[in-house]
Amino acid sequence: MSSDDATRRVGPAFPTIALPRRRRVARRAGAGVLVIAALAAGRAVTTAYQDDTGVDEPYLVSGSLGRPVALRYADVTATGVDGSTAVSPNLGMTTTGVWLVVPLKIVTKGEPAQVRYAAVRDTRGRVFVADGSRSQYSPGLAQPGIPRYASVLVELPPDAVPGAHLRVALDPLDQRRDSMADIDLGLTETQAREWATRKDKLPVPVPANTPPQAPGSTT
Amino acid sequence: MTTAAIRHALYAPGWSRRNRWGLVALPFALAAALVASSDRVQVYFWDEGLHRPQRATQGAWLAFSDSYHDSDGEHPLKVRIRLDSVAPATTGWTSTTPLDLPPGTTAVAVSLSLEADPGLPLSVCRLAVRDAAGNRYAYLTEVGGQPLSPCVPPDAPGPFPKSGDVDKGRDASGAPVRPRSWTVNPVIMLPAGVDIEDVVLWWELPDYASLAVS
Repeated sequence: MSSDDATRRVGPAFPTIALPRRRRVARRAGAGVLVIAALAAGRAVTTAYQDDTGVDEPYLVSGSLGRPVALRYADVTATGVDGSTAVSPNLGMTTTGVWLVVPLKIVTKGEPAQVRYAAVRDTRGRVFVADGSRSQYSPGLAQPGIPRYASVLVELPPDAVPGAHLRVALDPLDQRRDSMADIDLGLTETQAREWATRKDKLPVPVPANTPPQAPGSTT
Repeated sequence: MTTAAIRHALYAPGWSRRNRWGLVALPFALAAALVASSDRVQVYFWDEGLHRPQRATQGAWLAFSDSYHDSDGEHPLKVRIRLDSVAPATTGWTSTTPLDLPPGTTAVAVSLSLEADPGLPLSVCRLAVRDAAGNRYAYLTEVGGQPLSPCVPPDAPGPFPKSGDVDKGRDASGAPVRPRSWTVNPVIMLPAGVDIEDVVLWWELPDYASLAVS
């Protein structure tokens, strides 16, 4: 090994002199401007698409009538859909709009769960949640691997029926950052008009581990 | 010139030397930032799942030790548990009516022996069985119309945890007194063909008793 290859301290390759005070200040100011510019660029990116709350949205999994939708916690199938102005719960309820009845088949994964959120979203973005004493949905606890059958009952204005989607998720209070079924119910204006004048009292079967024999079921 | 500049960067007292203490502190700062921002892992994950098992095998006693909370604060919970058997069931725990099971399902009776202080509130517990893949099948009261609690005698469940003012005017004595040792036979519905790996029983997560089926 020659003495040239030995590791040793060397002087700078160019002369170093202390920067004048004004240039030091200017450099620091420049660094500050770069930091602020980076923050501003980040903000611009997160708001560029008018989607400031996007990170809190559920992960929608699309599906259609009669096909299982694979969610993180369950496979959910809307097995049919029917509508009328009268339904059986609470000793019979009527509406000036439309009662929509959607029977579901729920097969949970891994552990028992209540897939407890259901709502109908129309083409205008209005959301009708089945969480009350009129619009109802209460499937009960489903054992993993054992199908649970429950019906979603939602009261809608007739103009919300065509093109409506059913949304199903695990937690009724918090759907953020978890999968949510988004099922196209395939509804038309003809069905909306027909159901808005229909007087038959639709039965809404109670949740059970055996399939219901309700009208509207396609299984 | 370029070579000289590289050599200068490598060997001269430069950026890395001036910032050496900052570089040393960087991994610790990153670790501290991760710890400081992970408080929800405890609340939303660790305390919400079966994460701290206390294990025994079928036929052996497990001295299960945990704590429970009531309106007076935290108290020790000590109970001895033994899994006696897991056997096919045709009726619910306290019923003689044949079970009406959905197609493709079966039911098993989980026989457990327990020993604990009669004054210890134990009725608010959860019971399940698991298969080798970790799928968990829970005790459901609707299967065969079973008692609410799967781990205490239905006719002498013992006291409930204290609930402060809610207890006023209520008989919270737990009478009739629960015996010091007892057995339970709760029934669990599960898909047919599942091989049960263990029985799990818990009061407050994340601690749970895991009793391996043999």
